[in-house]
Amino acid sequence: MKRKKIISLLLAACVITTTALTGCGKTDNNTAKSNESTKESNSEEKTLTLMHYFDPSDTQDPYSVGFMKLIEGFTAETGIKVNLETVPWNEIESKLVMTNQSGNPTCDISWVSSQKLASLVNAGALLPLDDYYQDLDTSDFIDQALDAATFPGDGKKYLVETSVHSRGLWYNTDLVQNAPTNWSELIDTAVVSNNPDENIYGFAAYTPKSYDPCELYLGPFTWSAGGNLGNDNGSAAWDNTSTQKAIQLVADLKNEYKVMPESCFTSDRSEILETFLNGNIAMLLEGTFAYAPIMESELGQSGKIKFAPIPGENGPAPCFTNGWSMAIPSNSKQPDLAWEFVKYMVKPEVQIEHSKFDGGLPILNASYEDEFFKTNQYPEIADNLKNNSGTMDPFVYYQEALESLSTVNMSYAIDPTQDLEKMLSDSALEFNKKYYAD
Amino acid sequence: MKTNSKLPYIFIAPVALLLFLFSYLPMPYSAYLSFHKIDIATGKYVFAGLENWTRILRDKNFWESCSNTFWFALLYTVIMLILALIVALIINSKIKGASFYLTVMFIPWVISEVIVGYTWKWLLNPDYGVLNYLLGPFGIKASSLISETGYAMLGTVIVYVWRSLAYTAILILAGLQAVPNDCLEAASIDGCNKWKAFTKVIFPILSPTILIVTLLNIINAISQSGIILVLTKGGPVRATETLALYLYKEAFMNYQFSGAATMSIVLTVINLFIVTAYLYLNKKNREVIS
Amino acid sequence: MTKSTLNQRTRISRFCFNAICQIFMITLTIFMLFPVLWAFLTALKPNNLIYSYPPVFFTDQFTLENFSYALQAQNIPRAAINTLLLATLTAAISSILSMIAAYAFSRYNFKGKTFLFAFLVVPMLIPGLTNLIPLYSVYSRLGIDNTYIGLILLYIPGTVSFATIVMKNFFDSLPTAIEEAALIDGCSNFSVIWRVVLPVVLPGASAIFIINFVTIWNDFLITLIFTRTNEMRTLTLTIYNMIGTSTVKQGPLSATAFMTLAPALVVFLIFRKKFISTMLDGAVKG
Repeated sequence: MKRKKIISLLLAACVITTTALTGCGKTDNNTAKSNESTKESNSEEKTLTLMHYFDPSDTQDPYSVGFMKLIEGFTAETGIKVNLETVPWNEIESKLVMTNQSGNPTCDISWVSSQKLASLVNAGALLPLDDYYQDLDTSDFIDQALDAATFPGDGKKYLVETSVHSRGLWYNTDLVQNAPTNWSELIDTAVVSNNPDENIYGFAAYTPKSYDPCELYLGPFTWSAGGNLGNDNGSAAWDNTSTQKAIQLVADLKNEYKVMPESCFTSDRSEILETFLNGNIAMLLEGTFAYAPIMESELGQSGKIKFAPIPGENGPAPCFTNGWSMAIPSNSKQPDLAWEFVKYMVKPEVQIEHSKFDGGLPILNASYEDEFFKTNQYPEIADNLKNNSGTMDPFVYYQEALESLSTVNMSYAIDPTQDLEKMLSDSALEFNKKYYAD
Repeated sequence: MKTNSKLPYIFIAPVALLLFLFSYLPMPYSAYLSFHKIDIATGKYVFAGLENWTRILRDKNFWESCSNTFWFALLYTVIMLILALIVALIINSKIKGASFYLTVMFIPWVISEVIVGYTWKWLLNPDYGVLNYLLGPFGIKASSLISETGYAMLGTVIVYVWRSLAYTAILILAGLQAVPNDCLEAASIDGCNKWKAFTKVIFPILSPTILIVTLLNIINAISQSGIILVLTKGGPVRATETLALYLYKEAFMNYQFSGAATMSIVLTVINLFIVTAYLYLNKKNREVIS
Repeated sequence: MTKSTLNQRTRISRFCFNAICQIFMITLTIFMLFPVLWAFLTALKPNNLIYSYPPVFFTDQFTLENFSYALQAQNIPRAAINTLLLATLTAAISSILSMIAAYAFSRYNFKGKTFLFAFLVVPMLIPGLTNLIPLYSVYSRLGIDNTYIGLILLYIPGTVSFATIVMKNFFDSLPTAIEEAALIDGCSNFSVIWRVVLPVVLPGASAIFIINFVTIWNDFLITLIFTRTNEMRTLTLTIYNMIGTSTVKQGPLSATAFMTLAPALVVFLIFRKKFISTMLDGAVKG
């Protein structure tokens, strides 16, 4: 009895196994073969593999729906089919590097975050695009887009930005009447709107030890106070009084004025955003990539959330900008085809459509004339972008540098009894020793 | 024991072949990577000599992560062993509901690391965490387990212990089965209390099991990065950044696979040391017992 | 002391001992189950009740919206089938292969036995991260990345070392008397294995099956690198995708997390008796 059971189980397993393996093996062989043939033939359909983070089957996501329309438009125009590969947004770059290094990148063109530019180039993953840029009319590109595309280490361009995200002060008009325009106003406003009894915090900003705080506020605060984070060659220069003031401000907001929730230091970005959207934070320093969830929330829909520039020492601070960009893996098999997609994405009408569901602003100056960008806080955001943006210091080891500084920031905020000046100079020294020892 | 057959080689062949192809063959690549670096201009690897090695040896963060790993492994192993031992002994004494307890304790082990990380992170949230709410009246601020540098290591260890307690307990329980009941009976007739019975009878027989469980625990603790990554990301401020996590970040955040390869070699060497220590102690232990 | 007082004493101390043990175990059980329970409650709450303090435990506003969001937004059924298929197949194959190898280590003496055993154990000590690059290189050239068989071949080596060690110890603890008797009775070697060993070994096999199943069910890294299309995605990867560019809704996250853990839990509960008894029978003996 037991033996028969075992035999039948094994048989069943075998049958299932062989069906599964051969079944799937076949379909993949077919696609592999058809990909080969499309690559070789020139007059037949060409297929471009695009690596992105959205899920085309998610019809609830406005981004997916919008983007699929763009792809249809691209195929209609150029006859090139697009094969989409979905990878979680924070793993895209690592998958790109890994597969590229093996010699067989998994895509021909990929969406990458422009902040990862330095790391990607340092890993040899991207194709320099200067030759391609020659054929592109970049006269109407906003400056930020061209800056973001350039690697400070060799001055070459490796990306094409698709939309621009900036950062600013989102505030809840129920709790804040007038947005602060400088540091002392920021402190005052935060203290006034802070209400521990009702669980309301005056100010919040995502503060992990990755590069985000530097982009979000450390850079802007430092620059507004007249300082720099790095030197022209990419070595650390953050051991200066401006940076000290910046870090001190945040630490004070947390420890002295007690207006910052502790979750700024432990939680994910989205949890802080949720807290804000639930009406429990008066002012939130965050990027415009939070635009969509903000506008979809109850508070956002009732027009209670507004956008203002980041308060600097004496006025609006320069904000850091970045954006999702298109990059071509250095071992890409179809770079020319990939460039076709790039050309399509930077067309004015496509830029406008893309920004509508992306939340970031277009990279073409002319696009801002579209009616869409005249309402719903877009004017404030565009204004901030045009008048108050700055670029990050030219770090060749971008992530490592910013992480060192963010670590000091976080450490000091958690334990303000330490010697901030010494921490800054120690970390700068160490960073330079590690990367600029010669 | 049969000695003459060729059968064992055939039996072992598939496993050995798979391991050879997928674990041993790629190994030289790691070594290769650790002596090369990417040349930005060409995007290809060029020989870099000992550059990767000197860089990590000069890196203060590397040494900090090693020390973190040491403390993590120590804390984890000690807490895990004590708890698992207690649990195993209790279950072994066949109290009511032993089987139920054991099954329930296994549930955390079935959950994937990512989920464990997020679940605990939400529990320990400083603003919305339910543990803060429940333990607050007792004067315990649960969220410091992920927000304060002094306690973060403990917090991580607790989560890991939560996940794998049942697993370790059952390994020790298995070892307990080897303690013959008549020895215990003889001891209780002789008038020993439970403590003496434990130290003189149970412990010596259990020691090989405890040794290997310790070994497995330490190696596991050292190679883990999944839960820490989600729970604290190595924070706050590097308090929980173990070598495994540092390695992961080097590979998946900085995309420096040569650096990561170098560190994985270091990790392997550390593991080998631990295994050697285990083999030595095991031998010594055997001599002591017999 | 009379016999009765002695008995009374022992009975009281026994009672105390039992009571303490029970209290300890109950506390431990609460500690183990509470997070899971909380995740489940979170999955059932609407968003505004999740982000509220003091935390809400029970409410009449329980809703299934998180589950339905998770289900439709992320193509979970397909991912679930994938993960189920992969985990089951790999666990089965890996278990069979390691059982066979373990049998050899346990029942035979042969040249190079210690060497081969060490050969088996060493990969457990090596972090497999950097192995993935050359493996991916080969895989993509052979065209087997993003296939079931490719993934299975990758998963197996990761599970086989530990499984063999456990099974070897298990075999070591099984008396050889039955096998020898059968051999004397005239059965061939193969027949011995088939008729005598296999039935007894089933508990051990199920234990290994569970361990392997759970390991692969929860794998992330290999699936990330070696799958390309949505059709091949696994549940763990799906959870990662839930963490959108700036919004992770704790509700859908908990819902997906729960749906991910449920099947693994079910498999575990089915096999738990066999699993526990095998681990008890000699998973580890020095």
